[in-house]
Amino acid sequence: MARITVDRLHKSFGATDVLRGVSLEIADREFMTLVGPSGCGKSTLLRIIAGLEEQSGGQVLIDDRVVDQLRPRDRDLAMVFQSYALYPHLSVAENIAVPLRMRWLNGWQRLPLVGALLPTTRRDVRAIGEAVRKTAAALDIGHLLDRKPGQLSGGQRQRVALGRAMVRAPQAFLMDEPLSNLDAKLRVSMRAEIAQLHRQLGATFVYVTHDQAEAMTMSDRIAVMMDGDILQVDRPEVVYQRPAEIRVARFIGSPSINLLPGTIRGDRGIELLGQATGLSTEAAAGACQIGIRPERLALVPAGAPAMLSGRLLHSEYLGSEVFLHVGVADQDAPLIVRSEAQNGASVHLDEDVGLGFAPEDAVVFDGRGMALAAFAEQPLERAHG
Amino acid sequence: MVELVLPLRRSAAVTGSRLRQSRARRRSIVAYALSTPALALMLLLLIGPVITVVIMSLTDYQLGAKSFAFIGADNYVEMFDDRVFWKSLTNTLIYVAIVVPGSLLLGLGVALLIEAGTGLRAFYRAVYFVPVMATLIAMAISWEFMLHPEFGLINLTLEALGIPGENWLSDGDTVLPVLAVIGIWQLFGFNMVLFLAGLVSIPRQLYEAAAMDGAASAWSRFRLVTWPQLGPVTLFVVVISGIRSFQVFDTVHVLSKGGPNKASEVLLYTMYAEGFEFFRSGYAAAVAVVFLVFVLLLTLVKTWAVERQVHYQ
Repeated sequence: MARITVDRLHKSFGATDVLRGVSLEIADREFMTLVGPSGCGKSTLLRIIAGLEEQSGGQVLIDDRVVDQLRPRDRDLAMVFQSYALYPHLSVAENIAVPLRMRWLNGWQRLPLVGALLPTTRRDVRAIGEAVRKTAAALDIGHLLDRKPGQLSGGQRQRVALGRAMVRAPQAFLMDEPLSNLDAKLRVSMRAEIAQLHRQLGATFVYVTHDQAEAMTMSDRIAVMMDGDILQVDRPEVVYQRPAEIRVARFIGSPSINLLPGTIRGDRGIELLGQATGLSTEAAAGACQIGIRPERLALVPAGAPAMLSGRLLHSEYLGSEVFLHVGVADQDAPLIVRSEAQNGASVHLDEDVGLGFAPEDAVVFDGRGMALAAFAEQPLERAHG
Repeated sequence: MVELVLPLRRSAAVTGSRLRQSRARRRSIVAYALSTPALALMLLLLIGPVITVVIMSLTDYQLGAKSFAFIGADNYVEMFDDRVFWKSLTNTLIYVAIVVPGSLLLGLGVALLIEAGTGLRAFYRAVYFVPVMATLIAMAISWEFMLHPEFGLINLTLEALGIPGENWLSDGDTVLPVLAVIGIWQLFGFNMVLFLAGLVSIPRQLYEAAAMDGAASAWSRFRLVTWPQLGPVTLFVVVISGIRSFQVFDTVHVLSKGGPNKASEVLLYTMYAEGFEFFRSGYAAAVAVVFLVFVLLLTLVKTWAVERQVHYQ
């Protein structure tokens, strides 16, 4: 049981504000991912929750209890570090045992020779050994217990670090980019394992990453952070399809969202490059930006009316799909169209291409970059590629 | 085509292997030629003198004498029968046994304090390093003034506190500990610098992991992270301090001349006295060989420990 509440948290290092009044509610047993570019404050937020860093203002609550005055040890959280931070002089078994030794044994019992003479030590040490073996077996590292961290591969070290966090069955797990030191293939498989682990353990996970694929695939909810603020907290599919801000839209999604300049007319209709889009809004007239995900853009057959037209500049074949780079007049960046491979084969380099999209697939942002509520006003003739 | 090509290939392979052989030979000649100067210098400056000392220890050579004779192990027999030699060896070992732990603990303590503090780090580092840089002979003379029984700073201070002073350097019970204290004073700054370097290289995340794992007190953090992480540095400090305190000579020469009544006689001082005051170079060489054996032992201990575990890789 651990509900973590972050209330108007401020943190500044000297003159730089790293966190500017961040509030976040993490539900019990939730997998919450803090995602954002490097330097956005996500790690600092995690470290403040852990108690490794002190906030300049605001509060952290665990199950409605203010923990600001508690040492990391007393918050009952476990943390997995990017560098794993295993103790290099201890074997795998000893590494996993550390959190239990530190809590179950007192200072005298931990002494090398004196400890063994104390009456309860043997019983406690046996219990610790049992817990370590159970944890190691769950993580499939039972055969590595006698090795030193220096003799392990990156993936094995990662498991040991997870084991050290799990063995104590803490209220919540804090993970600071735990997969970023692994190679790409291992990262994908560990992603699934950590998500499974979360379901098995039934504990709250707070996971920090700059990798949106990790954020999207593992989380119940993700919090997108930028420049010390949380921009949006929601389920991955909502963040992807309905970004609250243009910065979120740009950050989430690969290849990234296509953005085109639009206008809100006096009659609330939205125009894209001078053409009606079939979208309308309640917002006042002015400039806006229209975002369309690459897979929502479709090729329009030659001759049929198209919302956008351009020239195919480049195409990237990826096996199951193809990314088409389409240059549109007066636009600096080409539009990216994500299409099935056989559709992509029908167009050739330097050919003129027509593109269309369904109005409800577009996201409209106002002049300040905030998402606008836009409605498809009339069924437009839909184009298919 | 195949029949034509095969013989061609074979002959090419033969010339190829011949070429490879002669190239390998040429390379090994070059390798020897390039390493000869270094080998020659090593023989001349490092191994040569050691062999000379060992040979000399088997002769009755006297400094300045025109001739000498081989007398086998007579020097060693005399040495092992000599009460002064055993006193000298025991004193040296006691000195090492005080100075090594003393300078290690003090160096580590000061390094930890400097690392833990925030201000004046450079100042403290410099101040504690001064004794290492200062010429020990000159410093020994200031120590002599401070230790003077009548007007020395130490006895005057003790007097002001109502404690009777000692005749530090003339008392057989105090002279060796006093020399050891000066040895610690001279050495711990060096150890401090080594420990500081070691402390800086400990990853900060290990301390954070320790804090999360429940190591709440400074002592448990030290035991879980700092001390094991300083293992390689500590080993180096022990060996270097051991060798340097085995070499104690300057302070003994200036302050006590091995006295009173051989109470502060140490190996290098015995060697110096035999060799350059009594001109018994052969006997002095035998003492030097004993000294070299101890230094070699320390070096072997280090090599053994390095191979064992201290480096965790």
